[in-house]
Amino acid sequence: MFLWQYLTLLLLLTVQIRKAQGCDEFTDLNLSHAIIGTSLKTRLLLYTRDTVSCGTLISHTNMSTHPQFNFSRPTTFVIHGYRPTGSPPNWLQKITELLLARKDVNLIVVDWNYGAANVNYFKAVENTQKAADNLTAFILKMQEHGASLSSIHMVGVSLGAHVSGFVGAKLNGSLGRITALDPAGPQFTGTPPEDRLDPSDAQFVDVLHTDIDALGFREPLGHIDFYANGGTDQPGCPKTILSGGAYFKCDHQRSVLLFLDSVNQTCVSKAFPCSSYQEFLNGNCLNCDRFGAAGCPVFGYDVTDWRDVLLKLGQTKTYFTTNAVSPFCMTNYRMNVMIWNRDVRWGYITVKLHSKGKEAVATINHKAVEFKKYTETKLLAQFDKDLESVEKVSLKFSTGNVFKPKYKLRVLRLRLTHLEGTKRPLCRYDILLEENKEVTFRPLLCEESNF
Amino acid sequence: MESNSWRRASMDNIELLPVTTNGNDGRVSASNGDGVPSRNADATERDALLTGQSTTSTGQNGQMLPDGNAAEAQRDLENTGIPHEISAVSRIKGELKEVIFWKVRLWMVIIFIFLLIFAVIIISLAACAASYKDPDEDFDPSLFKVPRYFNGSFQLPNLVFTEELSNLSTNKSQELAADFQEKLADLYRSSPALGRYFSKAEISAFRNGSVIADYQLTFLMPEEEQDQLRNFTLSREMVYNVFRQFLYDQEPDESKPMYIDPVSLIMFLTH
Repeated sequence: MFLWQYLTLLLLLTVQIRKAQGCDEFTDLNLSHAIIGTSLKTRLLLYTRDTVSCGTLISHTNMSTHPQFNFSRPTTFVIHGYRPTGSPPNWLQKITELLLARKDVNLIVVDWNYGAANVNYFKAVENTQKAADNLTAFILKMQEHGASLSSIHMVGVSLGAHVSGFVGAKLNGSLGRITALDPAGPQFTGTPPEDRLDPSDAQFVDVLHTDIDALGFREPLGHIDFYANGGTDQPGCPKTILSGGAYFKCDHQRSVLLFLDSVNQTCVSKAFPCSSYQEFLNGNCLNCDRFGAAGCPVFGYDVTDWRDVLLKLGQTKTYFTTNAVSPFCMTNYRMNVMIWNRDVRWGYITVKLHSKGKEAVATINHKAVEFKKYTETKLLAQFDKDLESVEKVSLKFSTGNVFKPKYKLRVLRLRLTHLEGTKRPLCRYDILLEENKEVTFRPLLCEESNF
Repeated sequence: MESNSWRRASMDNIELLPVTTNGNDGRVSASNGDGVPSRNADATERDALLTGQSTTSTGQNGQMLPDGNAAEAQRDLENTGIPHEISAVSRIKGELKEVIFWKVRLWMVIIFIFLLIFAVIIISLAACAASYKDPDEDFDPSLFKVPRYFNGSFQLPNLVFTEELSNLSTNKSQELAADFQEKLADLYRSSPALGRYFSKAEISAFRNGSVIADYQLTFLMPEEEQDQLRNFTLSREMVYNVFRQFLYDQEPDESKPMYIDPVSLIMFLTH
């Protein structure tokens, strides 16, 4: 108890100090505001590397009063989405810190909480256009002061993604980049491009989808669209309404967490162009030749390295999978299996990689895989982590049948190819897999195949 | 018919031997249960005879139903008292008892049938699973006639080359050759894919280079599938890599004389 009192005191003290320093905070509203409804008020909070944890409220009209607002630096806007309860987004501080750590920019947090906080979602949607007008005027002012539009990057979450799109459209698509994190679907799905985000809104538009079946937008909206885990259900998010509010927002919010990991360079997630998530899981979209030596694009902040080739390709739909917690990245291997069983076999495969006491697991169970005699079956094995040098591999075959006889999968050759990087594929020959029995072996470096 | 004679008997004996009556009573209800066909005719006859008493007795019976012991006690009382009533009550009761028993048997039978069906399914599935013969384990070695040869060499870094080894007729080299032939034969025989086709392994020479051993492998395949086997199961890649992975799986103790250096393994297909 004493400790808590002490901590609260400390917290109050720091708040007071920050106020004394002249720090401006994001508008903190509560549910009563949201119920009454709020009318739009756009506040712009500036953060720089020198003032990472202390925002400055910027005047829309008189920018010269803020010496730390340096127009020769690139500017990044962060625009939040619908705030049904009026609370400030909990990721604001993190995104400010990480974006500033990556790049020396003017980071402007667009606070349109007055306007986004409303139990009536439609009102918040109406406010997006007004907020966009406001921001456009601000950016034009910035331009007058010598800022370059192509050095502006807007990161929009949910409704904020469409706000970015509207701003971009009003500026004739001359903004440098728009990153849309799970752009909002309701009220935008099915509307013409001018009423939502679209690739013409900026020089480069990258979009992440994490909740296309509820709060997000299903169709592609940018030059590249990333569908994390197919864009529907995110791992680790509750599957039933019993978990309360998290059921509604977990998938949607995951987009921010994934993006933060990419800004932080926690790990790298390659995204594979594909027509559908199923096809991707089936291992039919592992070819990255169209991107040349760079390979398939990396999800997130650093996708700009693929900008030129993506602009040439028009719109690209890509897929990747994630873990339930950070580090979210998974490690992809292509797995080729050839069997010599006389009859066709169907089943699921679990692969484990072992290295220095650590273990990475991939379960291929999105559907029963067909294995045919002397035919190479191509699988996508997604491991929860990357291991430097694989010492041992474990393999398990299962069919899910209880009453049927225990089948055996007679593997002629197994080949595991790491999809990121240039490691030589690993091979193993002549494996007898009894159903539900794990077999562990030491893999060989494959020699060139002449099967 | 039987119950009529019983009734007469009980009427004769009742004053002299009340205990026997009880005994008769028990016997009759038992026989009632057995003699199902005769019971119906008997019942109609009795109904006419016992119209006066039947109402009271059934009423009593109805009350007694829930508690079998209480019913028996009361019946004993009645038995000693009014003989006519005893017989009627016990008979109706016996009948009621039977109906109840029959009802019980109905749902039991239904459940039994379900259990039976279930058991039959389980047993047949288990039998199917147990009697399942893996088609891949079913082969006829007498059909394997077409030979396929591989040869090559491997290095034995822990052996010192001597003149004795270069000549395969010497004891020492023969012993060593036998050891390696055994090793190769074991490794291929235990291979799930190649084992059935393996015929023999021969060491043809030991050469200088610490020691290099030359070997030849012979496989036999059936005529009908030989093209596929040549391309896949008995391809050079397969035969070579089964050997190679065996060498990499060896104990990492590199000082043993029998140690084969995995990197030195070479294999060719002999036409």
